[in-house]
Amino acid sequence: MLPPSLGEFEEMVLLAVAAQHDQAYGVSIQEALEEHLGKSINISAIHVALKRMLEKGLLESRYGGITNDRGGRRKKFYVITIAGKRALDRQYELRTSLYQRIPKITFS
Amino acid sequence: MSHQPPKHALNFLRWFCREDYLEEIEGDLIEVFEQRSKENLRKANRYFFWQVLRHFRPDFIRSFKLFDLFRPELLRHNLLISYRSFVRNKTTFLINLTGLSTGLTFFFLICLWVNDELHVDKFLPHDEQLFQVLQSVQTPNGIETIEATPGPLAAALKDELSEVEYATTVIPATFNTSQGVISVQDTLLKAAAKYVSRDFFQVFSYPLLAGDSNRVIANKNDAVISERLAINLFKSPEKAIGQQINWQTQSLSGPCLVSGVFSDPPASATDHFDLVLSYDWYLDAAPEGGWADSSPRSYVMLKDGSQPDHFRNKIRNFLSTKDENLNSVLTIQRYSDRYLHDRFENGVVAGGRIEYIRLFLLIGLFILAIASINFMNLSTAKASVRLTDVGVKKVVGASRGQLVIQYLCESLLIAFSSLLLSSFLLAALLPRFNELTGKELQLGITPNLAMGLLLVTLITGIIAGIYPAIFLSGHQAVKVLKGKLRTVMGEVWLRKGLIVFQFAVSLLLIVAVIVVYKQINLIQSGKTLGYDRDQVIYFGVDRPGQAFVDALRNIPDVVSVGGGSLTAGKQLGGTSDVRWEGKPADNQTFFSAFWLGYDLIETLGIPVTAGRSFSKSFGSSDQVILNEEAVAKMGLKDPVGKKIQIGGEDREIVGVVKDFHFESFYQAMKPCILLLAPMEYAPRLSIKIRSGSEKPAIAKIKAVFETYYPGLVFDYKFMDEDFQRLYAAENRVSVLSRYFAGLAILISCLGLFGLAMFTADRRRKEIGIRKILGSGALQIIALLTADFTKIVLIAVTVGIPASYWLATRWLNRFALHIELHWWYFVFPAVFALLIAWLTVGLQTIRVALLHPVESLKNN
Repeated sequence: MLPPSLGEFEEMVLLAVAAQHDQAYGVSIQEALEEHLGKSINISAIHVALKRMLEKGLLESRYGGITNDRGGRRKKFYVITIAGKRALDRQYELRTSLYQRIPKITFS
Repeated sequence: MSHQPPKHALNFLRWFCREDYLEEIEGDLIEVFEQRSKENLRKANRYFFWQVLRHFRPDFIRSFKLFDLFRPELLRHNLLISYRSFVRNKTTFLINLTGLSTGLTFFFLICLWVNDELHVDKFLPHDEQLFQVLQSVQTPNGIETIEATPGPLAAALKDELSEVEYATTVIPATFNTSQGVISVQDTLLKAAAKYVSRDFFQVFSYPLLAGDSNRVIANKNDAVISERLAINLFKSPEKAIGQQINWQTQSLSGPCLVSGVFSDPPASATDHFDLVLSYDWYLDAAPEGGWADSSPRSYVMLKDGSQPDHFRNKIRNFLSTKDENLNSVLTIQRYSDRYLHDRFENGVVAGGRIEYIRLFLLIGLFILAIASINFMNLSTAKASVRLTDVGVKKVVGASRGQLVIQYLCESLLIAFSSLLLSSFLLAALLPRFNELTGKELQLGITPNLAMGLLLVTLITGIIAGIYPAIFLSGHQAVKVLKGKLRTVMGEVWLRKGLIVFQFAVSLLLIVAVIVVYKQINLIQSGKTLGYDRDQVIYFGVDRPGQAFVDALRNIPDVVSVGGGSLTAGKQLGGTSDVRWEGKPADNQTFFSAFWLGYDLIETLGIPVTAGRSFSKSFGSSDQVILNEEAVAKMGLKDPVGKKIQIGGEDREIVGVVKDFHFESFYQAMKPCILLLAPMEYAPRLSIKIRSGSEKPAIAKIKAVFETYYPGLVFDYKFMDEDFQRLYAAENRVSVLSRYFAGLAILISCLGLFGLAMFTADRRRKEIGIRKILGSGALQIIALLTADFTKIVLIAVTVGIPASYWLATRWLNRFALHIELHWWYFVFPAVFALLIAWLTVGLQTIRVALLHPVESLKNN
């Protein structure tokens, strides 16, 4: 069976989730990505990506406790699954192997 | 935490967002908003809006399918809950079931009847293009629209107007001259004929089983016979073609050849005839009187696509182009509309049977409404009991929609149980209903009918249930569970208002019963008729010879024998071509004309006020008798002995009779001329029989008839039965209104009964305490009934003016009508009040007599 495909934006979000292990939720992912990519990111896009990856089984989620922040709404934390980690690894391998095939080129 | 995100955006999000995502998305958005609002509130607001909108995409939108509300498990639950509530409140359930099922049954019956009525005469293929030409005549009583038209009209219309495809002149089968005897060898059959001009089968496209519709009636001695007649005489339609039959009436006799056979008109046809003969032949016996003389009917078929309204305007003054003395105008009406819209006022359609259809539909709806109101009232009255249920459900998370569905489910369940019950009732009542209405309605289960039944039931269920459902589900859970509920005044008012409506309608129907009954009685008693139609029989006969008449006279119980007959309520032919001395040039009075034989005036007991009746011993047949109205119209003083000209022939006035009603009671007295038809030409004989000896007398008359006319059936009618047939529609209303009123009262009382029982139950403790404090049973009964009495009294004050208005309107359509008495209204009011008291009283007495210990010991 083919492994689930991973879009570029989804990969970014997945990386951010993996990096913030167990503490990743919508806003924190948005902040991390904005910081790394240096451009503003729409939170709805993140929500869409998260939901899709949940469906593909790349992520798991759990609710946090109720606090006084966020108007009393619970945070939803995301954790990467084994499948998610494998997908990231595969993506990484794919890129490095392709990268290493690049002949030594100099641009003058 | 100082700032709140914009409410509308948040509400919008909550409305569309999937429940499992909502908390996360809402939280994230609020967090972002909180951060941003520290810098710039307005920007943060705008950003929040924008972000909410960005989330409005398929991934996050919840399912809006109504299916959620109808999930099988919920449905099962709702059914269970409904069932339990029925079991718990058996009385309420039975009241609702009885009310709704009877209401539905009657509504369906009415619908079946209406459907049948609407299809009368609609069976002809070119129905859209088939019109009857009518004539609006100026009379001193206003404009009157009649069917009779000048003989040459149809042909002229076809020749001169391009819109007319075909036109035909018809002498209807109901005319005296149209009743005759067919003989083929030894077989004699009575039959009713139409005399028609050539285009008849093009205009009325009755399917021809044999013969060519273009040519069937081309020759003077052609005859087209009905399928029934063809089978009776010649075994089959094909064998009938070319056969010779003999046709005999008092004025026309001779052989004709069968040129075609038409299939019998369906049951929905109003026009019944057995054979069709040539109008040209008819003219041999009764030459056309020109444009001033009206008696045949004219029908046209307009070309496809022509505008009837345009055509109507075009022919309006057609008659005056033919004869400038004529000032009556023509109009057209679709042939199939004639049945429902045959009443004209001032030359314009004003109603007819359609009014009864509307009336009955309205009554049916009212009865259904009354039954639905019972359901509404009982459900909302029980609200306080069921509200706890609502509160608990809401707390556990039921949405309002689900609760509404639950209560609708209950009302629909009742509605459909009622449907089940009412289909049995329908099957049981249909024969009786057919008897009442004179219809042959059948309960074939057609898809349309089934759909209709289901739809009506569904709508009734929803209407009955929607108000209680919305009312019950609208309460806030917290308030309900804390017991803070106070009955809202508006809701109590509504309940009372609905009872007022129920009783007002019931009152109206009772008044209707009385008024209709009295009016019908007045008409049928015959006292105001102007002649005596009791114990008078009449029958058709072919050229009664003097010997036959004498034989009849010799029967001991026969009081008198008169030639001819008066047929109740038939629109008569007549003429405006009457001249007398001193007639003003602009006088266009239309005189109805009767042909009658010797002794008919005596037989019917029409009082002769001047001169004498027709008599053999005086002079020749050029005598004429006028009614008083005709004398007044002519302005003649001392009319007896004067000569007038009718249709160009000299006639001598020999007598004047008192006015008598010869047409419908809807119309005022009309001027009328009575012409003498010699006995041997009389198409009918009327016989007055001594009261009490009808049976033996008729047997003897029959014996005499059979000796003189062997092979013919003695087919007689009583004149007063004729009258009953004439006012069949009114009779029907009279009988049906009795049923409707009874039903309305019954259902209203059922509702009142339920409410009273409920109120009494709820106030049981209060009553117990009152009794302990020394109040007597009577006082308590008074206390409990006072409320309902007030409601019924209000209903009475609303209902009386409404019923007065309706009664006056209906009665004004009769030229002769009863006066309204005060007790027609007071009696129903008292009756309604008594019934309400009785219903409520039964309940309250039970509670009032209860020992206080019984009612108080529970707490």
